[in-house]
Amino acid sequence: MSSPREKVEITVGYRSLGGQPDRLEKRTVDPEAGDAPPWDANTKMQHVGGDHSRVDGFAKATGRAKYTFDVTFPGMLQAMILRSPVARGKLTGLELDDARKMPGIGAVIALKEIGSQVRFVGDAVAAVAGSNLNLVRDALEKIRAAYDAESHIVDYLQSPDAPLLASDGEIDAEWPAEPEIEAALAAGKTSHAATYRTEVQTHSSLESHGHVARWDGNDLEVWASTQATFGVRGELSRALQARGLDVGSVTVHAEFVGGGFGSKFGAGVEGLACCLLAREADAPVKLMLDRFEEHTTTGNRPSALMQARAALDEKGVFTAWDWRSFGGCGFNKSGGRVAFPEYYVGKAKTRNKHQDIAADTDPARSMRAPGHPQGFFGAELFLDELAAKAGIDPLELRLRNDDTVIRRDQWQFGAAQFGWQQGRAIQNDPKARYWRGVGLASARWFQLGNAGRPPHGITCRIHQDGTVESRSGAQDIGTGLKTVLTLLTAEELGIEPKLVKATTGHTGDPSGPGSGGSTTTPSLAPAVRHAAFLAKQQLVELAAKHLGVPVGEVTCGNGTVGKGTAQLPWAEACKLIGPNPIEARGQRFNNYREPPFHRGVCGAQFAEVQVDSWTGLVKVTRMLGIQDCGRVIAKKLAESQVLGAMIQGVSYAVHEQRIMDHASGRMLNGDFLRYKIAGSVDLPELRCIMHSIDNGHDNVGAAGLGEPPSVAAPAAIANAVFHAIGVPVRHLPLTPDKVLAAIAKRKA
Amino acid sequence: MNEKIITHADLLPRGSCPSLLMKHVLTHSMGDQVFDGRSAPGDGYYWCARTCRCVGPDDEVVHPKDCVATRRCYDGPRAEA
Repeated sequence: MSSPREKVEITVGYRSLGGQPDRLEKRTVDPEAGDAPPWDANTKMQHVGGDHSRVDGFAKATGRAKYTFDVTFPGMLQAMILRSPVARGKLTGLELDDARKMPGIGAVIALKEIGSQVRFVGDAVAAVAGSNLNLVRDALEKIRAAYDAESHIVDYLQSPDAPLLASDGEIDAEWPAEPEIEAALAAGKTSHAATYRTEVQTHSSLESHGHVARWDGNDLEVWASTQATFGVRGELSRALQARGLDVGSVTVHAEFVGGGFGSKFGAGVEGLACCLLAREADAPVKLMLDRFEEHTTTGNRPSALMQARAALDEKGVFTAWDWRSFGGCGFNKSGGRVAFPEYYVGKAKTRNKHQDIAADTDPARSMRAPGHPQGFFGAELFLDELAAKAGIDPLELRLRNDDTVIRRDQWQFGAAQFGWQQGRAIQNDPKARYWRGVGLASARWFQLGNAGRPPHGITCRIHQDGTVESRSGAQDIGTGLKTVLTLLTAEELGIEPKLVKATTGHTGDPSGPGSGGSTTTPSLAPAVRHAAFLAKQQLVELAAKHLGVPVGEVTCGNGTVGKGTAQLPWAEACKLIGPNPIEARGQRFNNYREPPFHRGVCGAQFAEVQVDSWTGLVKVTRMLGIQDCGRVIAKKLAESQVLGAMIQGVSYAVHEQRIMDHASGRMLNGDFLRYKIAGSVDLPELRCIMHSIDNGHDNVGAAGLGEPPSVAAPAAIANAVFHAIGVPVRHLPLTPDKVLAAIAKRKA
Repeated sequence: MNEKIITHADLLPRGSCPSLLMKHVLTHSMGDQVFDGRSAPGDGYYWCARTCRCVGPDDEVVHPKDCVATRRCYDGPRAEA
């Protein structure tokens, strides 16, 4: 059913970051009937865009916030999973009775049938619930599982499907013939070819995957550390019914979630096991994975092998871009794809081929900007190598080829803020121990992140005591959804944020998207505003009646409701509501039909490193990120998101890699002692500048932020190391052995 | 620019199994554009709603091209995106 639409003229674009002109333009949009009117670049904000702290920061810092890990009930059992010690083979026997007979053990279940395949070390075989974890561990040892092991490969580059690598790390295979590519390469003045590699990065969320399950008859209540409350609800219901269980209602709670980078969308076999154990034991059950399980069984950012060759014309513009990549994705042979910044090569002849290669390991799962950090590392380092060959400054090469106006402004502004020219002018003394260098790289997200389903909603309640609730059933995985709900509601109602209580993560509230693809805030923000807008209309009607003025002349803002001198303070106006609150259900309408100012998200990052030429240690000393996320709703949270992504980028660039034992197929560094992630001593001086842009695509104009800032950091750091030591290190992480080898190669 | 826009729904075989899950169906719309020339929808990690694993009830790997009516554990056609 189509509704009549009223066209509205708005101003889209952005004001100068500094040094470049404003990029503002008028646009006519057509909001759907009943939607809140659009905010635009000229809208004056009281709270949105301000420097507000996280509304649940105090609860988190003091331990009052309860995560799934903290949930406990009288009589609750603890559970663990028996996992396969073989990387490939068949389960030939599974004897559970001895474990079942143990005192204190409430339930033992099989998770694999005899005869089924085992696909990696850690594949779930059975699960046990008991009164404490020590008993459960003993019971796991009582289970007799037998396997018919087969030979395995845990390094995808050892697969017969993988290309051979020469001793210098280059792919030792001809490029597939394509005359147009060859001609475009030949037409260039400067050309280059090189191979790049990255290793597996694990998700390493602080709160591991896990659930608490409690049955009441056939009704199931689940507490989950999840990125998708409604997804888990639907999945568990279906999985339990598939096992022949009569399932009534299923409710999922995830009020606080200790992080999620893309591996927590499904219930997982551990979630299903938790519910089955609780049913069999007739008691609440908690099953949280330990750190080794977290590293080895819940997915990862896959390793990648990438090769590029390209050419520049005499003006330093790409004539050809040829790219092939291979993903080391795990047994499922899917999900290893990599992305590269195609906006540099829009006018060139391009080719892009990818192949996933299976290995007998845990499958890859989406991880913060899937495919981007690894692909951008290869592509952006390649650009710097090509720039060096052509005698062009790396920034200049990007300015000549980047077809995105927003990022071109970011490049120039960021370079001035960072001191790019001064940094590039560094002359390192070859005899000195420490060498410095600077590098840069681009970030992007290929959409605004709010293409979510329109039915997503928000409930807004205004109570007689002047307090307001804004409720979403979607989860806040730490990105600050509760703060977003609070600020948008306060802005729309014209009240102080302290009057708003935001609630997230309960499937009894209106549905929201899974938190992935940088979608949660941009998908829900228009619904938050719409809910507050509708609730405000009801309050305005009450006030108009009370004041005896026409409804259309009453406004609500700056803490008052009324017309002219006949104003009611917010608290007085709310007393008109009565004991039952005003309640409104906001919805997410489709985006406006007009094209947005920009269809994606842009960013640019700069890094400075110090390389110890004696030890090969890389120390990132300084980073700057310029980042767009559409309209900035909560500045401090947005900056926190970007800084966190830069820290994760430092970690990926210099530390993180899964190390496998080829003989056993087991991860050798499956803990935080040996799988190193960046700590406070590793952190550079970090600075972030948010670039607020009005894209004019819905009533708020927020865009996704979770993933874009994580794209650039590893590449910017690798480029800075290239600048510092004069040779590229083409294999992440930039560990001392690789850096020293590169320095030795330069000296040779 | 008259290039046909390819969406994730376009990459999903018609009548694929409703138990086939991927991040994209939880976070986005299957009508979203595919940007990088991939031949399968989503990010490449797929799992089954009945097993909560990336292996189906038939002990074979879950993938859009495989989770179709000819598969032994097929659970009926999913609603169109």
